[in-house]
Amino acid sequence: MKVGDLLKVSLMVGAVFVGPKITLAEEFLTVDEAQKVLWQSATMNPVDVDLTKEQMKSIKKSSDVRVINSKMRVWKTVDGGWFIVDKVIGKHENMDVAFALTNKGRVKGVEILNYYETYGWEVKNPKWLHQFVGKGSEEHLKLDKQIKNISGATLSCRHITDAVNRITHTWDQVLRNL
Amino acid sequence: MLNQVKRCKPLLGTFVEVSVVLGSSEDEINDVVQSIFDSIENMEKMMSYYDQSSEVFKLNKYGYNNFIEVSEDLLKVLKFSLKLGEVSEGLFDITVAEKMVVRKLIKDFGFDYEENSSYKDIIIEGNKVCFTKRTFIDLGGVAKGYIVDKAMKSFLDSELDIVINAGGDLKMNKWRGKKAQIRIPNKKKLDKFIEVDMANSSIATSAGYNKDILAIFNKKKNSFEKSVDSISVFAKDCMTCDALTKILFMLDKKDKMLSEFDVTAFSLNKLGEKNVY
Repeated sequence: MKVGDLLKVSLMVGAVFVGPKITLAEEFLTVDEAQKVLWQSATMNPVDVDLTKEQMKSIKKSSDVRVINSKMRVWKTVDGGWFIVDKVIGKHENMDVAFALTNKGRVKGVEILNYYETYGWEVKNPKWLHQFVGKGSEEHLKLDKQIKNISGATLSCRHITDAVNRITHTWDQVLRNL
Repeated sequence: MLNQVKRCKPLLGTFVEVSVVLGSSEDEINDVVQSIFDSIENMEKMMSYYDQSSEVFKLNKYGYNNFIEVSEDLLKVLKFSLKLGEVSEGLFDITVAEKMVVRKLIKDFGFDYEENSSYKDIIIEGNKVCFTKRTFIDLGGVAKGYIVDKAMKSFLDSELDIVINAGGDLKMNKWRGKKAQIRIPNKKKLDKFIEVDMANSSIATSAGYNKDILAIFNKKKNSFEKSVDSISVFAKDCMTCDALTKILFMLDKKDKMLSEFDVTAFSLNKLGEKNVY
C-alpha cells in the first residue's frame, strides 16, 4: 500500500470538527521493498489471520498492550519465518511498521514503512483517529517528496517497543500454530 | 535518473533515518544504507545502558575497583565525556545516570552508587577503565552523536549524498548548501519549523517539546533543567553537537564553550525567534 492511499483524510465539511491536520509525513519503504530488506529473496506467502476476541484478550493480558485490529497483514516464508505489517498509533504519530520474526519467534528486524504526525487538533482517542486513515477521499494530501531533515525530535520509540511486545506474543499464541 | 533510498528504523531510543541519493544502481545504495544501519546497531549494542551484554552495562556492573577492558570506540566516547566534564567544570557528568534513575527516566538495574561520586572517579589507563567510587554511567547525552559520526565515517568523501538523522542528531556528508528544519519549541504548535542553512556537517537540537522538564540534570543547581527554548549546535562532528546542546542549557556564559569546541549555536523560542550565541 502506498502512503498516498494511507493519507487520504476525510474532511467533514459542515460538521462540528474537521479531520486532524497531517503536518509531517515521510515514506520510507513499500511493503515489497521491506520484504526484500528484511527477508532478501526468501519466498513468502500471505497468511489469513483474523484474531478471535479471546485471542485479542489473551495477547493483551500477556503483552500488556492493547490489540486494536483483529485482522493482521501477515506473510510466512517457506522456512517458517514471518513478515508482519502493522499500524502503530501514538498520541500524535501514526506509522506503518514491518516486523520480521524468525521461525522461533525472535525479532529479526523492524522497518518503519512510513510515518505521519498530526497536530492542530486534539486527538484523544487513537481508535477514532484510525477511522480517518485510508478512508474517504474528499481531500487527498499532497506529500512533499523532499526529505525533511528535521532536528528536534518529538517521536517516541515507546509505541514501537509496545508493538514488538504485542507481535511477539501474537506469534507465541497464534502464529506459531499456523 | 537519480536513485534514492530512504529507510527508518527504531534505534538508539529514537527513530534513525538514513537517506542516500546517487545516480547509480539502487542495489549499491541499498548496501550502503544497510552498512550504516549495521554500524549503528553494533555501536548501540556496545554503548547501550539497557543492553545487559553491552560494554557500558559491564562497566556499570563490575567497574568499581576493577579495571575493565573496553573497545576503542567506547574509549573515545569516555575520554571525550571526561574532557567535557573538565571543560564544563562538572556540568557535563556521565555519572548523573543515578539522577535519571531516581526520576525514572532510565531503568534501575540496582547498580551501586555513592552520593558524592562524579566523572572524576572514572580512571582510564590504556584501554582499561575503572571506577574508584561506586558509581555508574549513562552515555545518553553523547553516544548517539558518536554513533552517527562512526556510521558516516566511511562515506565522508563518498560521491553519494548521505543524510543520517538519529532523532534530530543530524549529519550530512555533503552539507554545503543544504538546509535543516528546526522544530519550534511550542508545545501547542509542534507542527511549526524554521529552516536554517547548514553551517557545518552536523547539527543536534535539544528541547523538551511536550515535556516541561528536560532530561538534563544540572549538578550545580541540583535540579533538572526546565524546558523553555530549544538549543541547536552546529559542529564538524555530531558527538560534539549532541553533548554541547546539553551543556549550553546549563551555562549562562556560553562563549568559552563555543570557542573551545569550535561550534556555532543558537536557541529558538516558542515564537520561532532565533537567537545566535
